[in-house]
Amino acid sequence: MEKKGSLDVVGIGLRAGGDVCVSAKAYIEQADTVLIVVPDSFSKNWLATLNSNVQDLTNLYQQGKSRAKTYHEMTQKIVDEVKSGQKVCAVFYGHPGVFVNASHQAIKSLKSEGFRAQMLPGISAEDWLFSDLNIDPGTHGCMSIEATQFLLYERPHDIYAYTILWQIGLIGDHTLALSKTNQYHQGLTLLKSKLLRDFPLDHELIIYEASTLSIISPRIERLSLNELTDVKLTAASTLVIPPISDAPFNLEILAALNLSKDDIKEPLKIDE
Amino acid sequence: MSDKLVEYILEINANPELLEKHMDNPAESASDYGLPAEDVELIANDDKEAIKKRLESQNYDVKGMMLALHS
Repeated sequence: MEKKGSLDVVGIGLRAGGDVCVSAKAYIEQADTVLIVVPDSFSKNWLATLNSNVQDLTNLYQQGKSRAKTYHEMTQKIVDEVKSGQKVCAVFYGHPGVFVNASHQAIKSLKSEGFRAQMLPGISAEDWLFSDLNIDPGTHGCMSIEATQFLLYERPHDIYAYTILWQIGLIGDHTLALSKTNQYHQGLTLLKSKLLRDFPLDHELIIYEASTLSIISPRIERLSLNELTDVKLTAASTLVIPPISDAPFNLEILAALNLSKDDIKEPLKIDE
Repeated sequence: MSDKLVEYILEINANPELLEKHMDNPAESASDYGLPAEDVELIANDDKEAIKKRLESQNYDVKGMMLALHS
C-alpha cells in the first residue's frame, strides 16, 4: 500500500507561462507544497500566481559550495516534505530530468520507501534548439553531452552526427562550484585542437542560446572552427557541431543483407 | 499580478496573437494592453537587456544553473 505523501516532478520549460503543459500546470496548482528551482524572479513570480505555498530551493546554493552537496540537500528537502504527508510538486526549469540530479534522486528514494513519485517531461533547451536551428536529430543522429565531459574523457566521437556541447561557457570547470566562470579560453583551445583531428578549419559551428522571452530572439551565431577560440560565451551558451558529411555505408553489412547503396537511397526518392 | 509589464510578457509567452501584435507594433501593443508610459517606452526602445533586467529575467547569472554530475 502506498504511503500518504506524494511527489510530482514537473518542468516548466524555458518560457514562463508558455512552455508548461496542461497537466504540469494542474499539478502545480493542486499541490500542498510547491518546491521550485527556477533561474529568475520572472519565473518565480509566475509560479507564485499558481500556488500560494511556493518554497524556493535555490536558497541552498552558496558561492564556492559544490553542486553535488547542494543537489543532495535539495533531494533531502523534497523527500522530507513528502514524508511529512504533503502532496509535493517539485518544479524545475526546462525538462525536470535533464541536467537535474535532485529530481531523479528524490524519486528513487521515495519509490524505494513506498511513496508515489513520478516525473512529467518538460520542454528542454534541446527541444528549443531543434526548433530554432531547424535540426532533426533523426537525419544524422545526435551526440548530446556536457562540454567539460566531452573534453575530459576519451570516448568515441561520431563526426557524422550532430554534436551538441552543453554549457560550453563553463568548459574545463570540473569543480562543480562554478569557480571558473568566464574562464573558458583554455578549455576552448583544447576543444579546438581536439576537433581539428577530424574537422577542417572552415567547418561551420553554431553558438546557440535559447530565448526565455517570446519577444527576444535566440542567439544563433555561426562561425568557423578556426574562430572558436575568439567567440564570446555566456553561461547559457551551447555549441552545435554539424556533421562533417553523410556517413559512409558499412559495405560488409550491405553485402550481408544483399543490398546496394542504391537500394538504401531508393525509398527516399519522391516522384512528382 | 501587480506588475503590468510582467503580466504582459507572460501573456505574450502564451498567446501567439498578442505576440504577433507586439511584433508588428510593440509600442501600440504595449499601450493597448495598459502598460504605464515608462514601460511602453522601454518596450518601444527595444533594449532587450534593459527589458530582461526590468523583468528580472536574466539567465546569464550562473547561480541557478544546473550542472551535470559525471557518472
